[in-house]
Amino acid sequence: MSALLEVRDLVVEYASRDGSVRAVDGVSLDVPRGETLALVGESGSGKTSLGRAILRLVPAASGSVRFDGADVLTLNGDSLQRFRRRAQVVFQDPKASLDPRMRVGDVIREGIDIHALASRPDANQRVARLLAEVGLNATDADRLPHEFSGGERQRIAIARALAVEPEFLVLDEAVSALDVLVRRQVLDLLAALQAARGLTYLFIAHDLAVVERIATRVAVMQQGRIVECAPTAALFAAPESTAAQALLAAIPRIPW
Amino acid sequence: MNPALLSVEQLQIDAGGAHGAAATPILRGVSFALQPGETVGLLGASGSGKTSLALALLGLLPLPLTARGRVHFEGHELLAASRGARRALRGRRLAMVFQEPLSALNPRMRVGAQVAEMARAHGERDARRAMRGAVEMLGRVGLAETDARAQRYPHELSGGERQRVLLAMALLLSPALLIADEPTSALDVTVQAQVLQLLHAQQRERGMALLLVSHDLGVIATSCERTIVLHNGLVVEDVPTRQLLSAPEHAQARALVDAVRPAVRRA
Repeated sequence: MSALLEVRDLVVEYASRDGSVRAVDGVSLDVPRGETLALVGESGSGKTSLGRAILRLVPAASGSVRFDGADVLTLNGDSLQRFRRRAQVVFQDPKASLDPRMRVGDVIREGIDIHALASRPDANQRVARLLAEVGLNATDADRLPHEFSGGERQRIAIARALAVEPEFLVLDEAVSALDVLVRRQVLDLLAALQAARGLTYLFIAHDLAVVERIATRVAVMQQGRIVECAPTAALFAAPESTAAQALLAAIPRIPW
Repeated sequence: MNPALLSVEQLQIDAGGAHGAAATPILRGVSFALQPGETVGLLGASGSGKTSLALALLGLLPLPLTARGRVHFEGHELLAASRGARRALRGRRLAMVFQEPLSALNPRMRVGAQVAEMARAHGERDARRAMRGAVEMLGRVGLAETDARAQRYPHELSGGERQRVLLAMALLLSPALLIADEPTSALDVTVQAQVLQLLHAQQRERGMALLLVSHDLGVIATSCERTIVLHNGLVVEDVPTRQLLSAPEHAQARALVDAVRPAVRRA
C-alpha cells in the first residue's frame, strides 16, 4: 500500500535581494497512514517551509506532493478545497493563530460552515463534542481566546483543526511554546486523538527530546535537505549524520 | 556558615487589592537563602510565581503587583531601599538576563553602545574606555570579531547572539548575583546548549552566584547544585538537585521531574 503522503524532490524558493534562497532543496519523504513523521532541525533548516509547501500554503518551485494518490501541487478550485479539509495545520503560537475577537465556538465552527459539513444545530453539537474531546468544556464555546491559558488555547487550535474531520495534520512546533507540564499533556492528547481517529501527523520541532514519544520515524533537516531519516529508537540510539548528533547532544544531559 | 549573599524571608506578592478590591496572592510567603557563588535553580510551571519572584528581587515588579516581606542582599534591605539605592545595585552587584533578548534590547542602538551604557550608568565617565570594555566583554561571551559586531543593531543578530549581548551587559560589572529568567526558552535547543555552557563557564570563572529560573528541569539540572520548586506561590521543595531527581517528594515536583525524564534511558 502506498503512503498517505508522498513527497518527491520538492523545492521551495523565496525571492531575495540577490536572486533567490532555496529553503527546501530537493526533499523526498513518505508518511504512511496512521504514522507520525517528525521533522527536526535547527531554525532556518527549512522544516516550516516544507510543511507549508505540502499544505499548499507556499508555492513549490518544483517536485511533487501526492496525498492519497492525488497530485497536490496541481489541485485547484473544488479539489483544492477538498484537500484543505483533509489536511489541516496547528501552528506554534495559538495567541497569533486564533482571532482574538472570535468566540471559541465560532473559531471551531468556521471550518464546518465553510465546508458545509453540518446544519447549524448539528454544528453546535459537533463543537461541544470537539471541546470535550480536547479536554475543555462545552460552555467554553462562548468565551474568547484571551480567557484561556497557553495550553488551553493550543487545545482550541487542535479542536479547530479537527472540526473538519481531517486525516492529516501538520503540527508546526505545536508544543514548543508550552511549559514542560502542559507540553506533556498536549502530547498525550495528540497521541490519544491519533489512536482514536487514525490520524497521520507531520510533527515539526527543533527539539529532538519533544518528538521521542510521539514519532514513528524522525527526519532530520539541514540547509533545506533531509540528511537522515530513521525509526525514532534507531535515531536516538545511533544517529549517523552530524546534524542528528548535534541535535541529540543539545538535549540537556540530566545527571539522573 | 558564611553570611548569606541573598536572604529572602516571607516574601509575599499580591496583584491588585487597590480600592477595596480583594488582592490576588502571587507569592504566599517564600523564604530561602543563597550563599556567595552558589548556583540555585528556581523551578516551576507557568503561573507558579517564579518570574514575579525574580522581578521582586530586582525591584522591577510591574504594577499592580506589590511585594511584602524581607529581601536582604549584601547588607541592603531591598524592599525598603529607595529607587536610587536599588538602581545603584542593579546591574553592578545584582544583574539579570531575561527570556526575550529582542525586547530587552533597544532596537535603535548599536549593541556595543548598549553594553557600554551599563558602565556609564554606573559612573564610568570616559566614553571611549566604556566602549573598549564593552567590546572586550562581547569578545568574552563569544561574539567574535567584536569591533564589527559591536557596531551592529539587535535585529542584525541571531537570537543566540542577542542573548550573548544581554549576558555581556549583565556580566560587565562583575555582579555578585546573576538572576537569569528563562534565558534560553526562546532559543533553539542547539543554541540553548551553547548559551547555557557559556553561562556556566562565566559563573565558575567569576565565582558569581546564579539564580536560574526555568520551567524546564533539564536547563537547571545540568548546572545548579540546588533546586527550589515553586508551586502556587509557595516553596514546595528546596533540596540538592540530585535529591530532587532521585526522590522528589511533592507531587508537583514529581510531575516536573517526570516531564523531562527520557522515554528510554540514554547513554
